[in-house]
Amino acid sequence: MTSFQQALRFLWEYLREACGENDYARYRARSLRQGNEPMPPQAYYLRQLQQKYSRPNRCC
Amino acid sequence: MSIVKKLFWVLLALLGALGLGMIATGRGEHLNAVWLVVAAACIFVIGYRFYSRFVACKVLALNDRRATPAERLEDGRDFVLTNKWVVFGQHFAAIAGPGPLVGPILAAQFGYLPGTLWIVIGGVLGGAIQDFVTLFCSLRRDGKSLGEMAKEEISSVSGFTALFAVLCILTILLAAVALVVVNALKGSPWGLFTIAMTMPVAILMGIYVRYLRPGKVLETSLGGFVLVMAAVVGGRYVAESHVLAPLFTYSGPTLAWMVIAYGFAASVLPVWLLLAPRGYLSTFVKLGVILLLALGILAAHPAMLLPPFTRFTDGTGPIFAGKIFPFCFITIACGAISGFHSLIASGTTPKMLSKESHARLVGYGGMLMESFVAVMAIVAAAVLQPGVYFAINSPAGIVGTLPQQAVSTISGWGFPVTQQEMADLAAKVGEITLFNRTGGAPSLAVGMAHIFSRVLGGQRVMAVWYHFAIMFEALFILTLLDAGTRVGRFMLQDLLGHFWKPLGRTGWYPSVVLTSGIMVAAWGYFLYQGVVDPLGGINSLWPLFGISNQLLATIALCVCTTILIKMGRWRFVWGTLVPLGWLVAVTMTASYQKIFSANPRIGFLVNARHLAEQLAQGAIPAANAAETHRLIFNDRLDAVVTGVFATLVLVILVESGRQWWLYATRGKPPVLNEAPMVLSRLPASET
Repeated sequence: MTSFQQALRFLWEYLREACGENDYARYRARSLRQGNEPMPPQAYYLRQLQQKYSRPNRCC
Repeated sequence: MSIVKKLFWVLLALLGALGLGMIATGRGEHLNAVWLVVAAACIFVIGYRFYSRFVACKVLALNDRRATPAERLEDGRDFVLTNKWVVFGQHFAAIAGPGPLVGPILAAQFGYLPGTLWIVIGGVLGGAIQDFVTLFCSLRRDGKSLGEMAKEEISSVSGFTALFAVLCILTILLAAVALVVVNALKGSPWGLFTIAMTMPVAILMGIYVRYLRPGKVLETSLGGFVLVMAAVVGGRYVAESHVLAPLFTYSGPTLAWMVIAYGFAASVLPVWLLLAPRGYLSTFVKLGVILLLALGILAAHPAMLLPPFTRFTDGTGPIFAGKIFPFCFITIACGAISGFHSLIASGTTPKMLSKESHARLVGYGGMLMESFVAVMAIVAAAVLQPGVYFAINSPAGIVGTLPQQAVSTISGWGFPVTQQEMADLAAKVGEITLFNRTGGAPSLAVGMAHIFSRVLGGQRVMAVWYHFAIMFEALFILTLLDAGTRVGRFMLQDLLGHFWKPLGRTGWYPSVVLTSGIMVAAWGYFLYQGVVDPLGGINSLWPLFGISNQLLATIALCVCTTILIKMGRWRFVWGTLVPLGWLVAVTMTASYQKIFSANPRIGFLVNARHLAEQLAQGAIPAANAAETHRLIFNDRLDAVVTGVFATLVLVILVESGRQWWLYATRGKPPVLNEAPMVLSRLPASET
């Protein structure tokens, strides 16, 4: 892989992380570690949105 | 520090000094924008490296051996250990709003220099410090909000006052940014079509990411972006169509009602359907455009045609009345210091930091990035011919409703412009007219189109670049509008729940509808009065927004100062006291002038009196009497609102001052309400 491709891949992974795309996998792993049944992805996504948009998250 | 590093910093300082020298000594020729950008960037980098490091080490004594709340309370939900660059990206995306773009554009009426100096100095010494210290204070208190910290560290009165102030300030902020959007889209079928299309695109995205690919935000946003770009390009055909163009051409008042209806709908609909997908789209577009603008300025290296100072430093500016002190600072607002950032810095961000030292990059660094965006906005305004800049931004009530009146007035000010020039420019950007397109957004879009088209595509695609810029601005303003309405609705429900419990239930639809209606009615009223204001709504609403934003910053700095005093940092308390003192001087002067000034273009009360006298003398036609009564009422209401803001902040200032005096005279022992110190088990962070 060329260094340009590596840089693009790094950027893509950073954006995925910043968008929270890896959050469900981490949540699921944590729940299973604790012996709890993880909620399905749709329910988790909805809960994250409700939390995010219930407090100031955009500035002027 | 090694010799090589020292040499690097010396060279950087010399480069910054060279940039400042070019700005200071340029006579009779237009300064290249790259010098402004280089000077600002060097100052920001040096400020970050030395001043923020001093604050981190000596003032706050950040301790990476101390576990952050994300480590101690990690639950994978609220408290999540996160990479510092990811936190930085999310924090910057949250704080970067329309303020650092619109404010500098408007303040450019004084010339490019006053605004630039304030952005650089205010950002490094004020805004970045406010964000950094607020973030640190909240971090040590498990992510407590500004209101909670005010209540615990100052007094209960301060806490309640801060919460009430936030709600009022939110209302004015939403009205002011909504006015910017309305002014950008009125009489513009291309622009309105593009923005209208973002709604079904957002709904499609919402359904896709909710049901088909939960959590796949990136691919959803990419798809949405492609569709929105198709709308930007397709808008030309709508504008040129005799059938479709009239369907997307509306006046300011009609557009205001549409924006109000949109705000209400976005607040009551499920968050995943419209609000969240628009948020994704606007975040990516916003960050991408900021990067593009920076690259564009470097590649195009345009000359700045606006002078460093204009004649309007005398306070007679057409865009807003008032002298540099205090109104340049009030107008720039978020580009240098933003009270609203303290709400973001004391919300989610502190719950994600893995190490205390990361607060420096996220808090201080994030604000400096925002100030850099503001510098680029000044450049976008300054690359326009001054006559064109004033023709776009001056309201009809000042320069006249007819193009020939406007060009005659503006040329008479010493900024030559012709009707043909403006007609050609309007044709190039695909608009019917660019006269009286107040609010800052159209002139920013013209400036950006000018820069982008020089790099890619040339004059042929200037219209696409212009409408791309309009789409970008309107998109993230509308996202702020719906997210802000929703947050305001939650705050109202929380408040009303104390009186009748069901009203406090955020899932109970009658309460959702009622409180959304109240929020939208509140900002909608101020929006409408701004749209119909003959002096240009920006003249009254933007200073009101600026004053309220800076007053919120005053509250945040009061909390920060109190906490520093309680920490025993008396030697370093000037770090927050100096910007606090400056803000108090600026905002109280601006508040006083907006209420009591004898100039009817500045003072609300004297303008109301002036109109009332004209009515009494029969100088106003009977057909306009009802509208005049409304204008008088609005002026008095604006005076009351300004007075309320100033009073709220004075309450907190007095309470804070009282606490500081007690601590100074040892009349009261300082009690810090920090979370318990627990040693971190994470590996040490690099400094």
